[in-house]
Formats: sequence, C-alpha cells, structure tokens
Amino acid sequence: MIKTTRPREGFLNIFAYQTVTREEYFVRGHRACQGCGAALGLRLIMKEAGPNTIVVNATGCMEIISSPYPYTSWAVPWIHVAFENAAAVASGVESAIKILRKKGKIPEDKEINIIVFGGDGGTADIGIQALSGALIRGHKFLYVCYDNEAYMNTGVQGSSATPYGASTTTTPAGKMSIGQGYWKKNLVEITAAHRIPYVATACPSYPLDLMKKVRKALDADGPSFIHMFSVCPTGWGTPPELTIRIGRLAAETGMFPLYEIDHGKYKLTLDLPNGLRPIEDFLKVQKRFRHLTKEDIEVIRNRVQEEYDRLKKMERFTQEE
Amino acid sequence: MVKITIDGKKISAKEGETVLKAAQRAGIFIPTLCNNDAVKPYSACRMCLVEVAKNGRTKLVTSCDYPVEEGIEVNTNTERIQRDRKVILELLIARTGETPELKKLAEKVGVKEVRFKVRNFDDCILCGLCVRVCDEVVGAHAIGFRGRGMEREVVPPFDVENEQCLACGACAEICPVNIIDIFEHDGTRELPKWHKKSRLVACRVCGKYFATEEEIEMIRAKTGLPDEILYVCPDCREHNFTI
Repeated sequence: MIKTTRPREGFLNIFAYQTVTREEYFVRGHRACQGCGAALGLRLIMKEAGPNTIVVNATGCMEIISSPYPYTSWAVPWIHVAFENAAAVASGVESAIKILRKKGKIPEDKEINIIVFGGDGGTADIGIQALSGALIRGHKFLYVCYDNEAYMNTGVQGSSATPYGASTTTTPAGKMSIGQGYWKKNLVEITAAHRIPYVATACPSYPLDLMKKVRKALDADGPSFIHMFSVCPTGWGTPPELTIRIGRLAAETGMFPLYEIDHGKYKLTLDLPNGLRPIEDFLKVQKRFRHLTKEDIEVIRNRVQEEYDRLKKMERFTQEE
Repeated sequence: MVKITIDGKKISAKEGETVLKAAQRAGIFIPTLCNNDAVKPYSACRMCLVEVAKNGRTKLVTSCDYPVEEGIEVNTNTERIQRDRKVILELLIARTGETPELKKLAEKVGVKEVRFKVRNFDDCILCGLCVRVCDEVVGAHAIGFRGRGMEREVVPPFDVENEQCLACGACAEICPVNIIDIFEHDGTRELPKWHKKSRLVACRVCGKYFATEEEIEMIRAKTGLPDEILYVCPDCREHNFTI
C-alpha cells in the first residue's frame, strides 16, 4: 500500500483550483499561439510568485510574445537579455539586491524573488555554461526552463532537448533519417549534479503541482531549477485544444516524468498505480512523430521504461536514507 | 479610484477594495494566514493588523476586511503593530507547537522566543478556511466549528462521517498549516480528520482513478450528463464528448 500525503494532482479536483489567487502578473493580450503551454505555465508561475518579483527573460518564444514593441504583458519588473547570459544576468540582479540591502536602500525584510525564464535552446544549448556558473556560485534565484523541445520561435530547429525520433526542420525525417538521432539531454540531472537545494520537473497540465513546486523553489535556500514541459501545437503539429491533455499524456506515458529532487531526495510527484500508459497514446497525436515505425516506437518505449525504473530506484534509494 | 497612503507610499486603490489587496498589489508585505481570494474575508487569524489614521485618530484594524477610504493613512509596520502581531503569533504557537509554516512566519514577523507555555494540544489554528471553502466554494457545508474557547475545533457534524462531504480535498488544499491529511490507496480516498472514506471511480477507458463517487453524483445532479461522459476521465474523452 502506497500512502501519499496530499496527492495534489492526478485526480479531478474541481474545487481546489478555485482557491488559486485571481491576481495576474503575466497579463492577457500577449501574442502566443493558440494552445501555447508555455504561456499558460508562465501565468501560473507568476501567480504563485506574486508582485515582488524580478523577471529575467532569455531570448525565446516567451520574450517574443510578451513584449512586442511598444506593449508588454509583464506587470512586474522585467529584463530581456541574450540567449546565452540569462543566468549570469540573474546573478547580477541578485548581487545588486544584496548590495542595496547592505546600503539600506531596500529593507532587509523585503522578499524579492528573481525568476529566469529560458527556453530549452537558451538553457540546454546556448545558456548552459552561464547557468552552470550561476548555480555553482549559489546565487538565490529560480531558473525556469520552459521546454518546448526545439527552437520554436525561429521555425522549429532541433535543439539538444528535442526527443529521439522527432522531426524538426534541421532534423527532418525521411528515407535515410528517423529525425532527431540522439536522446534528449537530461537537464534535471545536470542541474541536480550542482547539488543545489531544489530541482523539479513540472507541467502546466498539473497547475497545482506546478505552483506548489514554484513555491518550494522560491523558498529554497539557494538556486533552484524547474524544468517545465510546454506543449507547442505549432511546432509539434498537435491540435491546440489538446494542449492540456498532451501534457498529461506526456507525464502518464513516462515521456516526461514529474518528479522533484529536494536536497538530493528524489520524489515522484505523480502516482501511477497502474504503471505507465502505452507510449503510442502520446506519440500518435503528434505530427513530428508521425513517421515512426513500430520498431522505432519499441526503442523509445524501452528507453522510457528504463528511465522511469531508474527514477523509481533513485526514489527508493534516497528516501530510505 | 481612491487615493490612500500606505507606509508613506501614495497608492490609488480601486473603490470597494480592501486595504490588504491594495497593499499586496503595491508589493507591501502584510502577513496573513486566513486570507484567500476564493472566500470572503473572515479576520480570524489577526495577523494582518494595520494601523489606520483617519481624522487625526489612529486605530488598529484587520486589513483583510477593511475597505479603502479616501485619504486614510495606513501603517503596516509600526512598533505597536509589531508588538501585537508578536503576541498573537506567540499565542498561536503556544496552541499548536512550532509547525514549519508558523515557524517561517515567526521568522518574518520577528518572534524570537515564545513567552507562553507551549501546550501543543491541537495543530489547528482555527482560521476557518476549510469551513469557508466548504461552504462558499464547494457548497457542501460538510464541516463546521464546535465548542468555544479552548475547546473550539473544526469537525463534521457530531464528529462522524457524513454524506455531504464529497472528499474533494479542497479543505486539504487550502489549509495554511497543512494539517488536513488526504490519502489515496487501493481505490479509496481517505480524509482521517473528517472520518471520511470514499470510493474512487476508475475511468472506463484507461482504468485510472480520477474522482470520488460523491463528486460524480454531484456533477450528475448539476449537469444531468449521461454515464458515458461522467465515468470517462477528462483525458480519455473524445472531442465530441467535451461539453
């Protein structure tokens, strides 16, 4: 018998969602595509973070859609920086706040959250060394990587976070190619290897879970990292009205398992008592996986199962200690 | 728009808004325990005390239910407020013991030591959020207060399992000190605090548990949908099934 305290997600909790705050800090009128998962996630994260937040935004989808000149969707201080140095700028912001506190220009007890939003390209490919540096220096900020698994705003070029077998414009599927030929980079393990207090994966399809993780990350005593799965209807070739469902399918099939690493302790946050869902449920609704043969799917399934089993093992191993 | 001053900062607030709302939007921190947007203000925890100066007089009020008025001057962190807040929080900790949430708040408010004897006879801080969310949001009225003074507690009627409770878990979700446990195992959901055990409904397509029987009955009564839709989880519903 598995006893889990407070299973916040995984069931249809119709009323708990109504207790979420009504205030908006990532406001409407932005130019995201229909059914954008990342914009939804941003909104939920900002709801949890509140008004005392400074947002550092790397170049990417969310920067493009939220700040078309002369408008902005941000009701909080926001700075746009280049692809590669978002984490470095966040370190600077944090250091500046520290100095201003010392000089008495900002009250000691005023809590200021610093959140970095970077896409998967800006995190896994271009910005990874700045991120690694900032994490190792121990600046207190939250890095959110919204992962839509390719460079979406420039036209679906493959990144190192693109999953195996996905067809993108730089890794097109055809007679000689299966699409992306290598596996998705495991950002969570990379960031967790810096021994930072809190690392988690989340998905806006599970809003309360996402917000809970953001709260934990902001309360952590050091840098924290959240890897947010963001469904991209434009790039993946999925119907925009199925965004939420595809996010849930990704979590249930094990393609993107939801877990957190709190001070080195692994914990799977989504209970799957019946095991993983068949992986075809997730793959068959997407245009980018349309070309996959049965053998290819078998390869992906084995890998996903292996990863999931490893996570379970890690959970058992670290929780027992 | 109403012009008010909070901590020397000039703020224009919306008419009918509370002082707490206006302060939060301006980024001024006021500690709260019993406040949530989903329910009406109740002013039970008294943590959000502020000093309001009007017509040359100052008084202590709870900011969560005090509407803004033209020209009032609000102070959120004077010595008087700090002293009162500390006493209130110390009394709460004396009642519940040092739970992590209260400890965090104590750090923020500046409580260094508790001057009262910590009795720790109940974990509940009696903020009434679970009762209010059950009344106003869920509409089930399944729990309420019982007793007075030290014996006051939140219970279902007669402290036995009742039919009104949907086992929806909204009370566990909203509890500011996380003391309402909710367990799921072997196809049942259990809320030990309310002595509630409820069977979970499995989706007819994928076999995943997704709601309690009471929730399904409630949705059926409200919408009159057929079983083919009600017993299929939201992920498995086809396009034409969505309402």
